[in-house]
Amino acid sequence: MPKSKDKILFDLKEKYDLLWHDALKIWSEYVRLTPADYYFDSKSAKAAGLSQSFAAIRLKESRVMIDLEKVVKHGLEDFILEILSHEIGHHVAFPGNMLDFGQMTALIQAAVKGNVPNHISLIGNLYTDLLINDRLQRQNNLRMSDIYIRLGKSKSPLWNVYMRIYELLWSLPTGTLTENVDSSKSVETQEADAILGSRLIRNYAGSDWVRGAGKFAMLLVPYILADQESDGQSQIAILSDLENAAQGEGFPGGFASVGISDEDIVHPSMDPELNPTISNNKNKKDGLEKINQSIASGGGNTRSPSELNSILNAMGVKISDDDLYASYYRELSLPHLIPYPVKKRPSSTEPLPEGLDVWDSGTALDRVSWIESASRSPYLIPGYTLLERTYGEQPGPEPEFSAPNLDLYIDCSGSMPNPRYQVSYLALAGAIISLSALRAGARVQAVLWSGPNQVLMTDEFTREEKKIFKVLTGFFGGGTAFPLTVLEETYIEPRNPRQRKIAEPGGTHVLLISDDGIDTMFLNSPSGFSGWDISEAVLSQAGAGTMVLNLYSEIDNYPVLVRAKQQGWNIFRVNDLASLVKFARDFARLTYAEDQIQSRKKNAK
Amino acid sequence: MQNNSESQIMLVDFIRYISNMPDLFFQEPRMMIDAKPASFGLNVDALVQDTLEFLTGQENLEIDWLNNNQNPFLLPANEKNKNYLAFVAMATYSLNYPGFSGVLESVSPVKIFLIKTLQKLSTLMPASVFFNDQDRREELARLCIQALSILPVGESASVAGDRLKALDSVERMRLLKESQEIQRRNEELRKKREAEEMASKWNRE
Repeated sequence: MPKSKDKILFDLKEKYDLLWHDALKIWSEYVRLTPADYYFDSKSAKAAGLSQSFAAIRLKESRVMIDLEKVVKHGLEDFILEILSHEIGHHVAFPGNMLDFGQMTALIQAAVKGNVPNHISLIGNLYTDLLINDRLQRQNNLRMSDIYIRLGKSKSPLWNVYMRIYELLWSLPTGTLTENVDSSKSVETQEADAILGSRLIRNYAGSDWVRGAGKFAMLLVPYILADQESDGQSQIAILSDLENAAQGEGFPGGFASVGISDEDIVHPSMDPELNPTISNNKNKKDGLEKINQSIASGGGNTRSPSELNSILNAMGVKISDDDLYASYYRELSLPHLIPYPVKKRPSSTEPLPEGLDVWDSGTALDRVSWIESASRSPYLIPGYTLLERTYGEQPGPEPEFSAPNLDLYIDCSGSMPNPRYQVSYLALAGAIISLSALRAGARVQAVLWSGPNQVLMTDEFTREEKKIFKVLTGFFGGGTAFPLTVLEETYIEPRNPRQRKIAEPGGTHVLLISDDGIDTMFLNSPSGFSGWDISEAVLSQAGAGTMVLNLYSEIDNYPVLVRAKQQGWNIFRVNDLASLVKFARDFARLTYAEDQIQSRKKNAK
Repeated sequence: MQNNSESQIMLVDFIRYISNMPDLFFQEPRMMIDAKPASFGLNVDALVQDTLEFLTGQENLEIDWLNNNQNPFLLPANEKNKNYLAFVAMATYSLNYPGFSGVLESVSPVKIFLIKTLQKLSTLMPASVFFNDQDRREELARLCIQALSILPVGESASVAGDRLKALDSVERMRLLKESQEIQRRNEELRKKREAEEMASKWNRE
């Protein structure tokens, strides 16, 4: 009697369980992973996120997932050790961890230059598969080539060049994995690319494997584009076992900056290491020095938020937009923040009696405790019965340290960039100053403004980073109308008592980041107050106010600003928005660094 | 490829033998200086003579093309010839693989291999680079057995021919050079297109 489908799948799972430890040992005796999850039908596998391939991994959970129904459907029941070892290889070596996975994806993203944005994940998948399979086939004698034979051939250009790389790597006769092809020109190109691909895999199989990913992407892009015109997509999708591999909360930092060398995103035919027809004028030392210089200079340029978004999408990281952009600007701001205040423990002002000790003649006479000595013995003999009291030290009160709260207003009118698509130096400056204020123990009210009624702000002066970043990374791009109502509610008619308490005299620094649109601050407010009166009240109530403005000409050429200066505003001009970063660093240092606060206190006394 | 059915070898063993080539074969070859044979250097023509005697199993083999005035392995001293003779030295060591003793009936295929094939290969890369590359060592091994009409164990003539074709350095170099040229042209086109787009953007603004 033929076995039922359930029985077949159950038996298969048993076999997988039996070989799990053998598969782990192929990589190392010491590898420990959560046992694989098995799905008995493709529907439940799909619900768990395993939709395209018959196997997948989840890097964060150190988990392997196997869709048993699909394994049977593709006739791969006999390749248990091969499939498990391959998936474990993704966990252990390629990509191995979230950081390398992210760096690889970033390199591929840079290499494809927006040509095939939806295939970044697939390219990384195919690259790491080659690295893993080449090792398993040649070093461990596993039958990886037989899996591809079982999966069948395709007319897809991508499939054929990819399989031709395997044929060359494993010395398989032409046509073992590829469709027999004629000797047209495109086939010659495919052969050249497959040769380069196989050299690339051998060349980058070591510890610097990530560096080969960009070149591999450059190699595959024309084939992916060609595939989009054929039905090759469905065939190659079966290999997507890194789909959503980084699924889960959070992602590693370090991707806001581009640490990519131009040399890592060239077509392999232009790489002297891979193409011997190119003379290599650079020795390895030069390359190393270049990398070191790149690290020393902070890893190159800044990646745009949308590029970061694309990388994380390709990795399968699920993260809300707010959290993504907050992480992005937080990471960019970190090198510019003030150091954390150091907790100082001053010497005691109050001695603490701890006990008695024998007094000897080497100690001052006034330290003798006559009462204790007499109560111990009627004979007062130095060195024997004469006692002195010993004292410990009691920590005195910590020096008073209070940083002014920050009331931050950022102009988000049409003249400003959207912080979610490109690097916004306004958002970055806001992040540097806000995070420095939080480090110094202050509270922050952040206000993003544009046209009338276009205001996004924190509910109050807060110490919650998340609320602040939600404001900093928001965008309106509308008209220009300074939110005088917010100033009124904060300093003249508070919305709630807490704000009244916060905005007490001298306790707040008001910072306005804008351009010449700041002049709308001095118009009349909707409630009828003059902007100038509100401005005066704000300065008087808050204690300090600063404007940093992106202006075309000198401040003195703006009569409104001259008057504001006379009223007590500190006004700084920047020539371009990028200069805001330097301003923010200096402002944070002057306003929130501990030594500066102490120095201001001394001067006040 | 013709099959010398009596002689099949384990290719893996032969490649391992090649990998263990003694340093002696990497020595500077003896060459012509001022139209006279130098008194120093590795005597490559003597190595070839010995190799052919080993392969044919005939002692004191008379080889006219090796002993006349146009000795193809005694060449004027220059870098190009030096590299070619280094290839020949490597090949003589390889052809002295113990399993090849007496397998050769006619020296012609080996003559073509030593003179024509190795001449071409020597123009592509230095002999040391060739020797240090795993695939190239396999290529050398396959070229040697092709010249001797021997097949690797477990391979048919067509499989062996296909594998040698895949390893063929001359063909590879041609393909890679073309690929490089295509990429260079693509890069030029891309830069030109970007420049045009930039110019058009400036004009619009």
